[in-house]
Amino acid sequence: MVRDVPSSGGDSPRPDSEHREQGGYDITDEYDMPAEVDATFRTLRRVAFGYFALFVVVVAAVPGLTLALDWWSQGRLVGGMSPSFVMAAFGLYVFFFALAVAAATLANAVEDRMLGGPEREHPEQRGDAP
Amino acid sequence: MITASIIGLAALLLVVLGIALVLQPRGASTLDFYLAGRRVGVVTNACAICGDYFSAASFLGVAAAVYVSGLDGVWYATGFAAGFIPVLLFVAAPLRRFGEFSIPDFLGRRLTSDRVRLTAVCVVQLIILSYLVPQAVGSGITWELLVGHGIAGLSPYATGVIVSTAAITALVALGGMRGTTWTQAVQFLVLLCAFIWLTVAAIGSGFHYPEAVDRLSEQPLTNPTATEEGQWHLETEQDRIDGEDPATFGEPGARYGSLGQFALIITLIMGTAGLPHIMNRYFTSPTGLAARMTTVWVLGLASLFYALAVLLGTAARSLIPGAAAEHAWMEELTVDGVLKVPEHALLVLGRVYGGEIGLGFIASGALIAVMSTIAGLLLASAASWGHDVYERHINPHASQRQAVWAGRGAVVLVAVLSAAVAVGLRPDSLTALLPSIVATMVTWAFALAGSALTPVFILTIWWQRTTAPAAITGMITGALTAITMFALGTVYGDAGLSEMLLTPTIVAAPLSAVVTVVVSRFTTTPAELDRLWLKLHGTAADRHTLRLARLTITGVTRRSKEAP
Amino acid sequence: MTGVNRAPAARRLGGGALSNGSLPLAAALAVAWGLVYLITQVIAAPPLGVGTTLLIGVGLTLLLTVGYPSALRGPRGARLVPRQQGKQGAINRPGQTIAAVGRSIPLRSGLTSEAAQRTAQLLHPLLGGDSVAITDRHKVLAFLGPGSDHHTVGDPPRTDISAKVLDRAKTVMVRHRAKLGCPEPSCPLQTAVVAPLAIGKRVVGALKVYRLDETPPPRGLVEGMAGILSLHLELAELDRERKLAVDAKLDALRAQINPHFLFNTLNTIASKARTDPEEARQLLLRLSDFFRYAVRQDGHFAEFGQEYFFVRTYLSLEQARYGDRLRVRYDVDPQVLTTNVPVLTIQPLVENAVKHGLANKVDGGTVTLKARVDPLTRTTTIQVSDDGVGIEDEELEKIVSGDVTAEGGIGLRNISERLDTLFGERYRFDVRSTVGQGTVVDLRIPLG
Repeated sequence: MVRDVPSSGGDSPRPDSEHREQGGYDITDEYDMPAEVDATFRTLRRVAFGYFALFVVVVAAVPGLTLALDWWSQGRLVGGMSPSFVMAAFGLYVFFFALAVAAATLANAVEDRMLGGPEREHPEQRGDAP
Repeated sequence: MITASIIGLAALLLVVLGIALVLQPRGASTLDFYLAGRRVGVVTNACAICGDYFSAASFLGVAAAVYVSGLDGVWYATGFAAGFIPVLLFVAAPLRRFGEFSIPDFLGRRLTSDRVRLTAVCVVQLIILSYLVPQAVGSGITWELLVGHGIAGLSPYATGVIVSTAAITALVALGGMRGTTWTQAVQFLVLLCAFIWLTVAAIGSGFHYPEAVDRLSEQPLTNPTATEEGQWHLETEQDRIDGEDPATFGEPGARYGSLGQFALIITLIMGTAGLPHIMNRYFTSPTGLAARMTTVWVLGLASLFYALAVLLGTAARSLIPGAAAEHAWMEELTVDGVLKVPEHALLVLGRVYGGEIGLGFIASGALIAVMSTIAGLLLASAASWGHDVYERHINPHASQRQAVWAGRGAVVLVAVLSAAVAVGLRPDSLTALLPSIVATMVTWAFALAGSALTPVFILTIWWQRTTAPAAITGMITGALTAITMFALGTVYGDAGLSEMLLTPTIVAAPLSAVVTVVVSRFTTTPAELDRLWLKLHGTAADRHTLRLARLTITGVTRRSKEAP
Repeated sequence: MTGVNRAPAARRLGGGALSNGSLPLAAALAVAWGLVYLITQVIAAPPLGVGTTLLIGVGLTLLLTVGYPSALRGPRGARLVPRQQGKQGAINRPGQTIAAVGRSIPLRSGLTSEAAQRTAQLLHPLLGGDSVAITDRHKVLAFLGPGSDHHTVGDPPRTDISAKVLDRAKTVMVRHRAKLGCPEPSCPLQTAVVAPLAIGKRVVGALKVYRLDETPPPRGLVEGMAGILSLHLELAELDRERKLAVDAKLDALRAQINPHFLFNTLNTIASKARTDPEEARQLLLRLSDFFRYAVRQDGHFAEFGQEYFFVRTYLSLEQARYGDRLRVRYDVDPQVLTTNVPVLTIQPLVENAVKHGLANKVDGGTVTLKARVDPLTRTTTIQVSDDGVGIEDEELEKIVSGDVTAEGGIGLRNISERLDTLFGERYRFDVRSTVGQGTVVDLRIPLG
């Protein structure tokens, strides 16, 4: 029988409470407020969908331009490839990688600035740092 | 002659396993892996994901597709690589942060519903099956060329399918091939080495990429077809965009019409985010941040790999006619200098440049690609049967032992099923209908994943109001639409509007998303959304892991300073 | 709703036109157009049609302009130091016109020895003399040319006329060596023109030009140049005063952190210490974060991300106190996070919204912080709004004019004055309020 019950797993209210007292450090110092997470999530969603739109437009443009522009498949770039072949064989990969790096950097920067704070000095750490 | 290549293959496989076992990082390096952002951990994991991802479809199939249809085949490479962009943008980091072990588990926990979990299990099993079949076909083709004769009265092709599937199933079921990060990473490096070697050899023998494309584009594209009497002859491909003109290598149209081009690309792009064996890999990243950076690396590595695959497909098209005249053994494989089975392209190149050893190298590369992917798929399948279904629903009090046996049973079942389907499909009987069969068949798995899983997956992560009934309806709609369209596609062929029937994501995914959204509007969201959201999008656990790792490392270095 | 729906009361606290150029964007656009030209017209055969090329170029331009701010992001740590006054290098360039020199005088940073040296070097070829000296009231700051062996830098001015000029604030021309009054007999200097350098009416130094022959240096030229230098010194003085004023305001702000807030928070923590010690501990950590941030700010600008952290810390403390009555919503553009905003500006606005808007509302409400970047006008927009009780028109008038700084809070006046000194007319700061519906504070500053 299938029942629609909340899944098993003893989750306590705080997301990281399962780590509590792990490794001898009390780590509940790190926590997020719902409003902060919500803001970060919406900002990241805007970033993700923005980049995705750019991605779809560029990818669709490669076969799309074939239909719209003769030059795209008739012209010859370096050594004899058509612009569309150059794009499909190298250009798109370069674009993908650049897009990935840009999106990941931006997402990391957003998370870094919108959640948590600047590194807190820890009493335990301060005393015995070399 | 054949013995040499088999010995080469066996030796290489042993070397790969040996390297994997000897170099496997132990002790302190695990600590490195725990530190998100540390290059070693992220890059190793990226290589492992590539090892899982690059199957026969990528290794033999992409080059074959380029060989057969030129620019239209390049879309496979583009789509396979581009699939990681949605993964990066939408899935990687939240999936890891939520911290469940499989896609069904993730969806079930996120929507707090067991029905969602079971529906997802069914969809995942369908995807795995449709991914396994082309892998088995790929190994059959390789066996056909490499060994050439069957065992116990079976055809060489069927023997290849059965032997490879049986071997890997045995390995997985007995727990010998756990798909450790390191083994997968080494396997990827072997594949990359094979491509780099072929590229260097091709360029060394005077292959000039842009000129070759230019030269190939001047004449019509021709491919062999068999008549009913078994006679092979070359037939000119029609340009499906411009109508009556013959298609050429450097221009689209040889394989897909104007709509089909988009449909194929969308299908491949959306599919990757729903592939269970790839998504399961993300749980090995220490943090969401590491998962995200891993995807960036995967994209870089995949881009390199597929760019080389396209180059090699072009090289095969341009060089094999010349080589066919020189090498007697190519006579039975080619028709006027064009290969009968395009998947042989890289294997033939390997033999041309490296003799028997070269053939063995490429063949073992193909088998490694097949094996690592099959292993990953079978493990994902076992996990979803054993963990998501058996442990949770059939026998909640199961011991660890029982769960493992349930998983093993599932592995054998799925493997037998996939081998049976693969044997039933004779590749050379299908090449006329579906050129570059391996790559084409893999798109079925991508279509199913992209239609049924990816839309629901993205919505559950990025839209708070998604509900359990909506997710179930969405997945079922996506899967049914994809399967129905595909069934219609095989009946009505692939011309005009029905082109997208064979790559249905372009219709099925939006439909699935719309259904999910509409049903969500009329049903209630799970309770305690805030808590789920903190876990899914919050970085507290990430920061904690990072700090713990930093503290541990400071501690370790200090201790090692104190005790020299 | 209890409030009467009235037309919103709106006040502008300051500001004017906004504009900000962007050199890097222009460079990026130039490169993009260059690449488009190169690929479609030079490398390709046959070249692409003109219309299509232009279309691609315009498309790229739009994409770059809109997407440009997001391309400048990096992880924390690779943060830019807030703007610093670049030092102007001045080298002796003979062909320079006086106008050009006038624009690049190093004295903008004040009458220091280093600045005087560079000014003297810059002016030496222009003034028609053999030696050029600059002094302040007590010592020689720079001496360039023959005679520098005994007219050494750092000594008191040796000639009598220096004293005369400094006293009378008038230009003096000396045509004979004897009248120069240099005690050194071997001094080669014959004639001189000495002009005072003044800030307002106060003489702060002198510009001296000497010649080795009988013809004195051109008086008008020296006098004019001294006038330009005086103007620069005056500007430098103004800069310094303005900076002092802003510093004083910032100090006032730091000292002004609301004691009520501290007491309330400590009370909350004390009561939680019994019921939920873990949360009390976290609150204490947040409180220390809050004060650490407020005290450690020493520049005038901080990254928005840091100010945002300050606001988050503040609001999480207030949420502990108000519970469900205080709801918070942030709406932040990713591009805003790395822009520089005036330090300790946003939190006071949020605090006002909590204190004046929501504290007195029975069922509480939502505070919204919205931050945006407009890439086209190059401005940062920060909006703090609440759906609280709103402010009466007359009350708003008082708050805006600075009469009320309600119970230790930081007055809007303080903020707008600081913005005045930081941006001059290049910002906007508006408050709109409707009784019963809430208050919206809108701040637009140049993207920095």
